Amino acid sequence: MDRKDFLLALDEMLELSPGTLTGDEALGALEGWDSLAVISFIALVDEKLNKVVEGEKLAKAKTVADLLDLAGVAVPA
Amino acid sequence: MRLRRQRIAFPGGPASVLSLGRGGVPVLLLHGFAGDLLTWQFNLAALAAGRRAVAVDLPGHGESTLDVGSGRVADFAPWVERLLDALGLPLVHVVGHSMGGYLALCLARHAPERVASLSLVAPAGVGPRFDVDYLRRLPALAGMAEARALADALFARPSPLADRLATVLLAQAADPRRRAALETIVRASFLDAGETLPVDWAALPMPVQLLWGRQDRVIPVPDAARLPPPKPHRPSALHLFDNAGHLPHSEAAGPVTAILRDFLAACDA
Repeated sequence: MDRKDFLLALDEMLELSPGTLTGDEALGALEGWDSLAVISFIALVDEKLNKVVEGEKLAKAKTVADLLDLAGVAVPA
Repeated sequence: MRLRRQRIAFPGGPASVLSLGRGGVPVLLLHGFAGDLLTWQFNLAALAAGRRAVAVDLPGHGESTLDVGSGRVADFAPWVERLLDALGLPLVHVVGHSMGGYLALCLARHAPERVASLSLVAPAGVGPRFDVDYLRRLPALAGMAEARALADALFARPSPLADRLATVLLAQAADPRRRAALETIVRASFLDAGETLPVDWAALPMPVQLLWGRQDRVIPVPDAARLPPPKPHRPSALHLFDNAGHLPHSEAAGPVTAILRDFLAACDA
């Protein structure tokens, strides 16, 4: 799953229109980013990328780009 | 995997539950006093790999019934058993935190045939010491400063979770019905409970493990004499986590979840 596909999956998870998220968004500004979204995000990464996201690191995430980083999806420099 | 939030009707209910995954021997997650099922936000998905994971709001908490009956946590065990009946779950692994850990112990005594294993995270009812004043203050918060101070005290180090937690605790205390429910539990289970007697671990037929943050200030790690005795294949049933306070499943979510997953898989084998 590449960056574009992962962003689309996050759009769907947060019930946003496809292509909404670009990576720069602050999580605090996203209405749908709550504890249930946290669970769905961990499940998404586990299911699609076979990787367990560590909650203590997720708790410190501030932007969508941080989520991509935690998922191990390449973030352009 | 699809996250399902359900309101389950049954005698003594309703219960609010959050489920993920399917198959296997399911795992039931019981939160602590003044918490709710979202305390497992960092653990639920990983525990749902290859099995159903079900987190529940206990009576007086979250979106479940606010009727706490006598307020004795031990009396919640038949409530949980009826919930398992309503969910169609004859056998579950049980993971309980703090008050939920004590409830897990009560359920294991009440219905041992329903409990495949016990994982007790900073459980009440094991050691003789706990911060009863802390628990008494939780439902009676006077303002945000006190809520923030109590939220901070749950963690070993400053946590990005403390702000949100303080907001939730304060909102809960400001709701008269929720406050009354929590105060009933405090009176019946913490203030009037008397001395905590040692757990008779030998009477529990299922595998048991305990997980604790080394810096837990609410329920400190008890002495070895209070813990399950060592066995040849398992020198200690206790897992300790550095840099973790009373919420090791949040503050040390990675290692705690890994140990829970491995334990459940080993118990299934």
